[in-house]
Amino acid sequence: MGRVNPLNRLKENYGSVRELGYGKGESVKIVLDMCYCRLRFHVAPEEYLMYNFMNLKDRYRRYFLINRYQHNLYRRVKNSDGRYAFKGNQYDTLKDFVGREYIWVDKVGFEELKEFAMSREKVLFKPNYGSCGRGIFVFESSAGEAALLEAYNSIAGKKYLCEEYVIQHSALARLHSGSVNTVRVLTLCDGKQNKILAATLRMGCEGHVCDNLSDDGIGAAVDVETGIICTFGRDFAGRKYACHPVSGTQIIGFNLPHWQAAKEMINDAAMRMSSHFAILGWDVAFTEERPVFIEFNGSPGSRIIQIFDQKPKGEEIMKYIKKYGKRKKKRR
Amino acid sequence: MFNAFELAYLQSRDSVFLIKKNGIKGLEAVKIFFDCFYCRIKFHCKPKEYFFYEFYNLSDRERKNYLLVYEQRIGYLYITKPGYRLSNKMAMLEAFSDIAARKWLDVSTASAEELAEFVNTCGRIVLKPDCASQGRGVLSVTAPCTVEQAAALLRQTKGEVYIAEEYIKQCAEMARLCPTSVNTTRILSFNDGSGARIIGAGLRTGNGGICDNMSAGGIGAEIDVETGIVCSVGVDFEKRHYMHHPVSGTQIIGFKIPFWQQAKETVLAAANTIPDCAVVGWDIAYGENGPIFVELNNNPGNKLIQSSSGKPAGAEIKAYIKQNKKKYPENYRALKKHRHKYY
Repeated sequence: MGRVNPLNRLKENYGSVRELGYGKGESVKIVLDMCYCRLRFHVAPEEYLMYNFMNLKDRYRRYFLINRYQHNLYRRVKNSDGRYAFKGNQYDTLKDFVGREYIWVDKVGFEELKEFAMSREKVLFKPNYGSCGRGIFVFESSAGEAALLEAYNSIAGKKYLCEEYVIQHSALARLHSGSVNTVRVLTLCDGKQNKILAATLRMGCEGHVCDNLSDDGIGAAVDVETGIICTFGRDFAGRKYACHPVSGTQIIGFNLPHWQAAKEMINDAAMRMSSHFAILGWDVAFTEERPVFIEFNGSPGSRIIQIFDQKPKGEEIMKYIKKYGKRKKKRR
Repeated sequence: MFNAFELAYLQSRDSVFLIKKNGIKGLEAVKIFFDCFYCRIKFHCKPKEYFFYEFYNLSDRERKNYLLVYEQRIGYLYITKPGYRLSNKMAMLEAFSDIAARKWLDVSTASAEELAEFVNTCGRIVLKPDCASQGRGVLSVTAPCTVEQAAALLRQTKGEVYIAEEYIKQCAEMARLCPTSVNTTRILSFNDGSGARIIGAGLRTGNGGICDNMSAGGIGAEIDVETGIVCSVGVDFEKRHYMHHPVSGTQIIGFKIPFWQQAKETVLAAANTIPDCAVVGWDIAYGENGPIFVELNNNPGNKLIQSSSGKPAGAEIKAYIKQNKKKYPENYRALKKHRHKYY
């Protein structure tokens, strides 16, 4: 990528502030404030506008988790060699929370995959290493062996997992039946006890298998205590939804099923991982019987956790890192 | 009315008390103490409001859009026609009898027999002081009522003008929230001369008592004006949060107000009939057949609409007040002297 002329960047920012309806003088002030926030809090202009930083004081701003800086922050309390970046390793470690069968496609041959996939109605192919819902596809056994072979060939040489398709709770299917709707939970574990800091429900939208927000999904904040959706749904484009645009089910006030069980499950699992990670983002789905573990992220995205209720979630994390984190490496 | 020294004393006393109460210490406490003073001078914001709306987290750009007690007491007076204030409930009911959907009786002129008969025909009545607000002095009387009992009531209410109203039978959906009180919505309308529009709305429910006023212990929550869905958790004046109603257990957030579109239309139509009042807070109850007018407020409180969602609602109104300060010179002259002297 070529270098961006900083002046052009300022002009761009000025334009996007003007679009929000601020006057000329006010917009200049906000653009200057953006530069200040970039230096002080590492906030990108998009995030500045996303969290409405122009309306906040530094006292409040400092506790927002910032996308650009989170890796630096989390790295200081991480003690992992990177093996848990692979979803297969996560499944192997937390086997009793997964609640479904899975195989490593690259470790077994086509015959075993065929046996696994054809004996089930629907299976999900997932890259072992990846994010934002990239490379995920669903295979239905009704499509036949030839289609399976084609799929197998298309992912040959790549690390892939094949797992049973999660059949979600009927209440969540009412929101959007086309995708498995999951909850992202942010936890902080100090080795003695685990604390759930925030939770967000993600729903898919028209024609998407994934519920990832980067894939046109809709999200809404969950009240951690009760498991009730406590904000409007919204997407990354900033559209607000009181009801889901496809199904028409009311989002705000929706009660998540098995929420207390899910909290217990996450607390257990986080304690088990506490020697490697202090801060984790958990993806949890809900079947008719129980909550099931989908995956965890060692450096969870900050936007999905903060954008819906516009509240900073970093206060405890930052205090924890200040107290226990490894020292920053000096830049060379 | 206070002089500058008294005001400064009251201001510092309250801010120190609240800083201690919120557990703020050290340099931060000093900064907030001076910030309180700054907000008082710039935005007429009392220390109590400073902490209630969490002004310490907000920049001036956001702070200036909050509707505060100053607007309620002084600001709205600038843009209300002199002499045009519907502060007594009887006049309101007469003006909007078509949407009030209930009977009422002036207790101050009624005899004991008339009152007893009124109670017995209505089944249940509410006695309210004609000019009070915030749910003060409200009594509820249920039939049967003898002449002696009515005479005792008259003696009890002597000295103040009371009005007896038929008890509003709310619909089952609203009674689900809190069955002991009539649960209403407060809708804030704003008319700048180009037609009324709705600025914000809040739900008020009682907390076991007969009043739903927040100042009488009730719980408030914000309503999304577009859809009529309660979009925030319930909150009371002590800033306690309620996901579910403490009395009935009904979930507050996500609650759908019945007849919402009808209620909005009713309010807009009514607000257009009194263009001399720019900002009006309408209390609307919900019966089996649709919305019922309870009363209106010329100087509506702002906490209900702004507290639970944490978003200011006053950008338009404050800009209008600023532009139209001299709209009624009589008001302007009267307020100019005293506007800085209230606490």
